[in-house]
Amino acid sequence: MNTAQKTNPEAAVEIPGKYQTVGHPLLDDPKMTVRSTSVFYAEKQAIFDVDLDIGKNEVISMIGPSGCGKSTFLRCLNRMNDTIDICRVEGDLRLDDEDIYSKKIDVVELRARVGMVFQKPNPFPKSIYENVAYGARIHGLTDNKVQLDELVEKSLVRCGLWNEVKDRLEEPATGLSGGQQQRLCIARAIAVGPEVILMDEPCSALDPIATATVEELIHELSENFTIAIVTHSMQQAARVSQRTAYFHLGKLIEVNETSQVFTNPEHKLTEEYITGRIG
Amino acid sequence: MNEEIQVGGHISRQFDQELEDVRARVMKMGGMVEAQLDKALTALREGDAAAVADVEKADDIINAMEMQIDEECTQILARRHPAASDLRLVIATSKSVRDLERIGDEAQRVGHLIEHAFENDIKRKYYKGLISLAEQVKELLQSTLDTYARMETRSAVRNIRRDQAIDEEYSRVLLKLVDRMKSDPDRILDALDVMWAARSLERIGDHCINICENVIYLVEGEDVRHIEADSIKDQLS
Repeated sequence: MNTAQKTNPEAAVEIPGKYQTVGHPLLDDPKMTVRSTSVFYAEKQAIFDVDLDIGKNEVISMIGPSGCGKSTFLRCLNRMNDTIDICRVEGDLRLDDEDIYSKKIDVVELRARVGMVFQKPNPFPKSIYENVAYGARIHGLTDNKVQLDELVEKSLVRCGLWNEVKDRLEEPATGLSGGQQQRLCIARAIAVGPEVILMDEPCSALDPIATATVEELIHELSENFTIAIVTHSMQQAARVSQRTAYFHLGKLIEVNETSQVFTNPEHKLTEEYITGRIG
Repeated sequence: MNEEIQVGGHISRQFDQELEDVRARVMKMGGMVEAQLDKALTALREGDAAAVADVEKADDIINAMEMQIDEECTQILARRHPAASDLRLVIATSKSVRDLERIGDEAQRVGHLIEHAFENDIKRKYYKGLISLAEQVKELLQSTLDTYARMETRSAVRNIRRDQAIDEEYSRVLLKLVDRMKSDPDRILDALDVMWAARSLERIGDHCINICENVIYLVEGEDVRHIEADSIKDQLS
């Protein structure tokens, strides 16, 4: 891991525009790289000049007060912001060194490689089976029904849902509990073979038991996938991630090992946020 | 070195209050422990055991305070999930309270020994040899409590260095007592009593150092236990 930038702790807030993130935002062998990235909604700048690497098979959490830009940043990573007309992304964002904002990139294919799980479980109004099979079918990932059945089963097994739904695969997904629906959405995301999974507050609509199940799933999935998670729950960030990135007013203030951020953060603003002095 | 740790300023004023309450209780407990040691020192200086008459009673109160503060720390951990400096404050406090309680125990032990210190002239002479050690330990305890109250790294490092002088004084006391045992074997039991008292005073110094190390952990987030006193500053810079 690089020990790149250690700076004046106040720099990130004192200097408008240009600033430096404290901690270790850069890695030696990243899965995704983000450089000099800014995001604008019309004239209003939401993200300021962010440099960040996301490592292979790491779980990185993005935390910060409401409106700090963490979700906006996450959505840049699979071009979800393209769906917002007034949104403009500047900078260099790469997946395995491939420019994801290049004109040559097929955005549908990019979103298969960089999947997303949202705050509220959003299963399609179809059967449990179809929810998982849908992506694989449109991407042509299987040749026949037997292969598709195997893929659906494998994806549901990986999400710990198979035993709960194997006897009712044709029933509507909307009949599942909130926690089951969220795990189904994760199964849907992994069925298309992503390399990175983005999660935008995936447990905020779930009860503590369902949350624990999803967190356990995140831990297991990290063996095969890279996961970036936005969360309002600092305990969740502390539990699931190896690195934590703290955003404040659109600036990436600090990126450090999660074990450090929650015991001895480097930046005063991070300290103030995680100790409940700013919100 | 970081010299600024904020206890207040949380969005939840109730949380500010809980942390302040715990700190205030620790300082009160520290004051009681200090008074215990002070009584022992007064008795040694004045050659009169009356000053240590009620050490037992004070120790019961100190033990009860330890349990109360520990419970408050547990409640804060369970209900507030403190992080960063708040977490370090709770952990450092919980550990320091254990050291304070042990300082109370050692001061009580010294008090009990001093109760019989002036039964004859020879014993009285032996115990007089402890005054310098007791004074140094008392000053260290006082400074340690100030360090906790101010949450200050610099004075914590200074105190850790001061313990070396206490260890040296303790060695001097021991050597002198060994000489006395050799020259007057009939008084070995009396000399051993004084040795136990000296040992307790030296242990109080060690507990003070533990508290100072806890303060450094609280302020700097660095664990400096088992590091030579002279190297701590390098570790922190």
